[in-house]
Amino acid sequence: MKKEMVYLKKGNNTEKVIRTELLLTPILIFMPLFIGLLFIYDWYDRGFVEGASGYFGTLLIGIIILVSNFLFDIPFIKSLMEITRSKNKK
Amino acid sequence: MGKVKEKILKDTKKRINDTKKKINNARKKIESIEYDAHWYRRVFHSFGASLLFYYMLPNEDWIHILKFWIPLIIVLIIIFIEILRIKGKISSDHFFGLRFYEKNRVGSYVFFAVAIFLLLGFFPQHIAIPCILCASVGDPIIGEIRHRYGMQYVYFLGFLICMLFFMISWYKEAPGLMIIVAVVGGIGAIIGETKKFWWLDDDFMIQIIPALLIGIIWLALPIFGLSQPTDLIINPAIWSFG
Repeated sequence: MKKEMVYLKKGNNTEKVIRTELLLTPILIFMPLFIGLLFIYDWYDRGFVEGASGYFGTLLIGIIILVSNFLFDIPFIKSLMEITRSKNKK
Repeated sequence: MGKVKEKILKDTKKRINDTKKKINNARKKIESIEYDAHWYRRVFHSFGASLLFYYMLPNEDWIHILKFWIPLIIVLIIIFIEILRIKGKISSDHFFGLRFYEKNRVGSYVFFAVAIFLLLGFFPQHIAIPCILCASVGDPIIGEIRHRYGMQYVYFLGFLICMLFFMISWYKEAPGLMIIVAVVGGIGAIIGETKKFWWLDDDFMIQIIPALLIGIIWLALPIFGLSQPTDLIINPAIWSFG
């Protein structure tokens, strides 16, 4: 890996940065899921039920937001669980 | 004498084994943080797509004013915090997932935020939505392809992914126009993603280069007798009180 692509190491401040990360995790994970579902609901409510085809774009964007977030959320949560587990072991 | 030698040898071996164990544990810890930072950056990127909620906010007068001022204030706060970090007033320790090259430079999250603000505030939906999706969804996927399969697949697959976002945003238009926009947008996004400068991050370029290219097409449409798209992709919510 190129030197500049390496992440900044925090020396003995690991606990502090992980705390910052944990603090943001609920927003980073749940907000996109909520927004994705809201887009899909908007398509259903104003597009599908009313028979308006103009909301198809909203549906696709909602699906993109949901799928892309699931794609990255799962390995992120796994890594977070691993790091928390190793921290508790200490 | 022999027993003493044996004991010293045994102790030394034990100490060597203990040191090896400690080194391995430290390495594992560093690797897990590296792995964690990697996914943290990916999740941070994909979170950006949820900012498209902006277009769902109702167009009431007072909300319309807030729709400009709140993003501007957020971006200014982010820039202010970043200035404090670079000057050393806030420790970089509070910023998880920063890369080595970002230590003394503006962090990529600032470029990401500024580009999204410019797109939401000054570009029409048909340009802003696919460009934001290129940065928030396309960029991490391209990063993963590069990470796992190497550079040879990045350009082609990245181009296809970004092209798809432009096609989704322009699907209501004539097929010819949709394809031109998708190809130009896809090429712009890939140029933006692959050209990196020390002073300008790819998180900014992947959004602004395709936006400017499609902006030129947008302005040129009336010259060729075509009308600019008017149908919104994401419609503002309508609030009804009672």
